Amino acid sequence: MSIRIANLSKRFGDFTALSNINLEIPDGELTALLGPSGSGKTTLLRIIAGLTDPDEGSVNFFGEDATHKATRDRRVGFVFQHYALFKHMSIFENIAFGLKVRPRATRPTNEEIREKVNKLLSLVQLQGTAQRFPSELSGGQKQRVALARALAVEPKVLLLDEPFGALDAKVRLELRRWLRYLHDEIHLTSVFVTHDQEEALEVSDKVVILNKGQIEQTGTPEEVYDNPGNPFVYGFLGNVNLFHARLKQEGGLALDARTGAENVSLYIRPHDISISPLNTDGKGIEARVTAHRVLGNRVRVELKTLTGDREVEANIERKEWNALKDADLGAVFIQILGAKIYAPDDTWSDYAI
Amino acid sequence: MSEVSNASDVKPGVKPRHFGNREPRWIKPALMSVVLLFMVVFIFLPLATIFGEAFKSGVKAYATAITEPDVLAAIRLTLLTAAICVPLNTVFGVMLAWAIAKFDFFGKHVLVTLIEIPFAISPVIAGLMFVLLFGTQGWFGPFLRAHDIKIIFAVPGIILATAFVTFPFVARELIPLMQEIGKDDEEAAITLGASGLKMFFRVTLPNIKWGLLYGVILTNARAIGEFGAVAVVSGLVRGETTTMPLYIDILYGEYMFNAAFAVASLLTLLALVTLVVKTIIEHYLAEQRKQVN
Repeated sequence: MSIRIANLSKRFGDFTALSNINLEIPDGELTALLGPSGSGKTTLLRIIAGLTDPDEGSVNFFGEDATHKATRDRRVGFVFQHYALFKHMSIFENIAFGLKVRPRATRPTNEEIREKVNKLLSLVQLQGTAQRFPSELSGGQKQRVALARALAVEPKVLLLDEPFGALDAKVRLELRRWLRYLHDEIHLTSVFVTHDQEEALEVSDKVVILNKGQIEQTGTPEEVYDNPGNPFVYGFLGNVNLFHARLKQEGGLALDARTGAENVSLYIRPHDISISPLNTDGKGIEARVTAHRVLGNRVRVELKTLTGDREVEANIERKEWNALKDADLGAVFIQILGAKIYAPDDTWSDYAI
Repeated sequence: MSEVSNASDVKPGVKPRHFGNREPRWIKPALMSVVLLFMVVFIFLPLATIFGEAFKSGVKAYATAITEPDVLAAIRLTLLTAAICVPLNTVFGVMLAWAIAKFDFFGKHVLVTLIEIPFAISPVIAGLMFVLLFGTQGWFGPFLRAHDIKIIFAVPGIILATAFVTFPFVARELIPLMQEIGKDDEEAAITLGASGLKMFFRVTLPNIKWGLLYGVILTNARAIGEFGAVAVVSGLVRGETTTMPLYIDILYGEYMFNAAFAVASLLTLLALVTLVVKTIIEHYLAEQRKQVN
């Protein structure tokens, strides 16, 4: 383990930013701290960097207590949401900064610095921009310079605070894939903060989901998506249809109920709902289509159940929608392909089809 | 004529009398004349009078007037005061702005309000305050007398009073600028291993240099021109405790108009130079603000 965080708490006045956090960041992996705003994810990252002091608890770096170590002795690379490039310095000067501020004894020669900066510039695919200034670069380029600058000091840990937050959608997507490739190349222990679940699932090896200053769940992207630990995680990782149901032994939906409770909540992802004009197996719920929107190759369909008037959101394939279009949309059947059941006694179980 | 003309309902050859929101034609020249007349009466005429009166008896008389020993002493004292107050308030102002912009602490808002006190109260009261503190009958009077230290009616008093009335300029200019720029750059420098001093000189200072320079110029202008506060603590000892503004007042009071205007012209020249420098800095400051946003 490269970073070990134990019993960490932080308050800002009356606001509890983090309470009793215990976390281990695996060596050489890319870990995402995912959570809504105010969940404490940025505070946690800043405490790891030493930019914020914790109230309680400890931070351990590679087996050494670093709780009270100064930031500049921690050897962390930090990438900011708004780049934080030094505006009065050229790209070259920006990347060389960390090397040039070293005490004379450990400072590399000018020749070594130039070589290193050029190597980093080609790593982030910005050869030929050395003499330009930050104001002449696009957002995506600026963030890559910031990354090169952070890597120049050969940090043991790379910390990224919403690194793609200030970029537009397309650049964001490109840059996060590129970051993943880069990480596969250099294998530096990295932690990045994001509020975008798609980003976290796509980029990271491990996801840490935070809410209200506490860790809700940790795991690989697949683990947390397929087996969300609680309703919050489930809701945060994607859109959800929520039903309140009463469990009975006979008739209706077949449920693999591992709970003794009667009143349960049913969590269903929009893409786990299919719509068909016929009720072939008798398990369908009758509904009518109230609206739809074509999103590229998928279609978001809004429905209302005929009994109970419950709103349901489905996300189906274009093909499926095209087949449906000519049918009578006033009476279709919803089939539930998968769901999670949440009982008040805090147990989760799978919906059996 | 183009086929795609916009002014489709204007008949050819007929000029429209009004375009949409355009004001009547006479407004612009009328407004400009009023403004110009005002500028001439209130700014150009007094300025011209100063230089006109100064040179009324010829260049030779002017040269004699400004090289008189008491005048030279006044110039020296004014420059000395500025030379001490400007660096002092620059360093203090940067420290104050840093504390307010980068840290959160109890009583921050009160402190921000307190900075304005030298601007809010009359300079005469500022001067009196120092007399009450350091004068022979003041709080520290017995102590100062016992140790033979003279502050009031001496140079230290003049410097103290000037430092007091000029201290808000740098901090007031820097606080909003530093708050706008934020902490990211400094934090980036620290994570890259920079020490506090290297961070300040290589990252913070370049970021705030135009704002700082602007504050320094304003401090300097006020330090050179301050009258009220300095008049109270000066004691008006010729050649010893009279600054340029004080000496102009003395000469004028003694009907030595020539000499008074000669010294006044020097002070005015300094002010004009300051104004030009200030305008240039303002231009760069605006450029920087644009970049930050």
